[in-house]
Amino acid sequence: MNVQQSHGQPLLSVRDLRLSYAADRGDVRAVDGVSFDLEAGQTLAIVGESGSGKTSLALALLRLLPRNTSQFEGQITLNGMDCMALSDGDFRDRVRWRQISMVFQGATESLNPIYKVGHQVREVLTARGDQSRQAADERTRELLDMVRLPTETFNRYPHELSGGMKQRIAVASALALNPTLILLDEPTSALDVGVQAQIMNLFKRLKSNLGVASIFISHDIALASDLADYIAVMYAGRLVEIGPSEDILGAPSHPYTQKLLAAIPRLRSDTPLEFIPGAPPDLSDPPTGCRFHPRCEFAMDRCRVDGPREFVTASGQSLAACWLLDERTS
Amino acid sequence: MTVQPEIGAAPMLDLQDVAMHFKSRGRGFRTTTVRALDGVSLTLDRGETIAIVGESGCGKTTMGRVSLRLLEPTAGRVLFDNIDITEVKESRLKGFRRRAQGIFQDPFTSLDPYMTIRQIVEEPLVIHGEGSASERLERVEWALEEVRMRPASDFLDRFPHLLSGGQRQRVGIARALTLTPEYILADEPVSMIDASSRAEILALLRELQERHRIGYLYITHDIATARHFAPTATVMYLGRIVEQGPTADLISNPLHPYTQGLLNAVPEPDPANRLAERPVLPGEAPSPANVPSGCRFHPRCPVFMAGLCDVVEPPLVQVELDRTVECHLYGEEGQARAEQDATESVSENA
Repeated sequence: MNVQQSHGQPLLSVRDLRLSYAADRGDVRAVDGVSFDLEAGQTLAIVGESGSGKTSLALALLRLLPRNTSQFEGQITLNGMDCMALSDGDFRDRVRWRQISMVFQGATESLNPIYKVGHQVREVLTARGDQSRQAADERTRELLDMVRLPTETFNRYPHELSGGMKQRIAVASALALNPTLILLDEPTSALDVGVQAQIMNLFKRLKSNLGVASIFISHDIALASDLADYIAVMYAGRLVEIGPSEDILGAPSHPYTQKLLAAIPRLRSDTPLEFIPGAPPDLSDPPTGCRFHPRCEFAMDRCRVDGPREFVTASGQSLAACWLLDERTS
Repeated sequence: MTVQPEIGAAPMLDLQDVAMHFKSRGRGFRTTTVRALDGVSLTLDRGETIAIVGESGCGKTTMGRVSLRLLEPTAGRVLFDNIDITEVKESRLKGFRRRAQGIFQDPFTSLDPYMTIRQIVEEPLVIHGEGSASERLERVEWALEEVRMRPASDFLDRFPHLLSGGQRQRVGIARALTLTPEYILADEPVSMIDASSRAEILALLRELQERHRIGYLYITHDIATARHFAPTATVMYLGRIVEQGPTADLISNPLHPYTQGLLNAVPEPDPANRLAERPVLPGEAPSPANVPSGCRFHPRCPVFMAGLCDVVEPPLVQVELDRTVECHLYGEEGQARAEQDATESVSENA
């Protein structure tokens, strides 16, 4: 999917990206034809239920492919460079962490307990032998300051830090090589609401101060609204709706997006909560036609047979893959 | 709760000034005391839901465990149906164990991966020596149908790893339901489930409550789900209850500065959110091994009054018939102090 938004070349352009895993029950098509653009300095949120392929999409962008990958194709263009044409070695040397970095889900548990956290951040800078230890130390202190950790944190061990502080260390590592794009995969899911708000504030600050673009992955569309300029809704390996946050949150067009929003407990409203009956489909054997049709209350005959095209929504700003939009226009 | 029960009618669950202190090893040979729970009182009736809201380390889970007598409190009393079960021996708790059950946070680790759904849900019946094998099977099928895993026969012989998070949590609920308990502790039952399925699990719990008059203690860090599930809420901070009242009032008019901070942190889906930073409380809650003097919240409090909040423990103030708050802002000393400050600032200006 692609929204007519850009003036000039986008930072990241993804076309028909596919990533499948080989499994006993057949190929699991985790990412199945995803397209979008992202401009420099902007945030795109990818929201959807677990198992919709959000994390696989991030792994595909960073080319961190599991060993059982059976299909990886499509186009990824970053700053005009064709990423898919790069060899694994070139991708590692030129793109991963230098241009695209990532804060992983559960990053707080990914720190090595026996090394000081400062050394773990520094390792990113020295691993390829391109910075002296002294310069790297200095840069690490600068990074700690950037994520609002006191400099003495450098010499602390992971167990001495709180969850929020460990998350900041993960962010510092991701920022170390000045990437233009940072992938945030459920970066606050293990944190308390108060700490979560602090980390989201940190992302906002990094966005405005460093101008780094981000892709924010979450199952929580309310949380995504804290950062997202654009929101893409992912279902069963595909994007079903994409557009500016105002549009997706204010006037969602796809029934799945509408349901996702209606399921969120609002703090200041008594509106009874809705939920989406059933579970997302098994991606080794997705439903025919529109993948959401078995759970959709508006499903029509054609939805069961034909996969929906993308339609421009009423606002003219978003795209949604749903036959209902065709009905409306015809 | 603050609402007085009918005269003569004892509440189902009655926690009276309960404290739970753990001894843990500090540096060297010194021991430190972790004050996980430090004098909390609460009552819960059949058919009622009370939310316990707070961040990690506030003592909410400890409180839940004490309420199920999984922990023997170090002070205070736990009454169930007017019977003191604080120090009753485990062997004599079987009656209570049937009537009080728990649902836990993580549906991925709270179900034994080597047991089938049938074995998991049947286990409480086996432990309590209920019925014959065929009666138990009937009961298991009933419980699965109750949690909308239909037809039950489809699920009986499956293993937990084949189920989604929402389904696993429903197995956990079915297991709690087999003995038709009167009280269920629901400790973060939806926090590890997708946002889109939370509403479904909460609706199910409420439906079961209406059908079986179950009382729930709903432990959560998510005040928004509490709003939709529990009519009454209790906010905890570092082992103390700091505010209590009808959930909707507590949200529309939070009294305690901590409650206000907690509410500010909750995002609602609004595209304008991205344009400004969210007002947040500074830092994180200190460890319950190192509880601040006076009001425990004072080091993070935006309206902290020096010389009072860091010295004197705040009073419990009944602000309205059904609302209490533990904060100097609403106590006599604090009010006097506020007046004094006001006159001083007037005279300074003059």
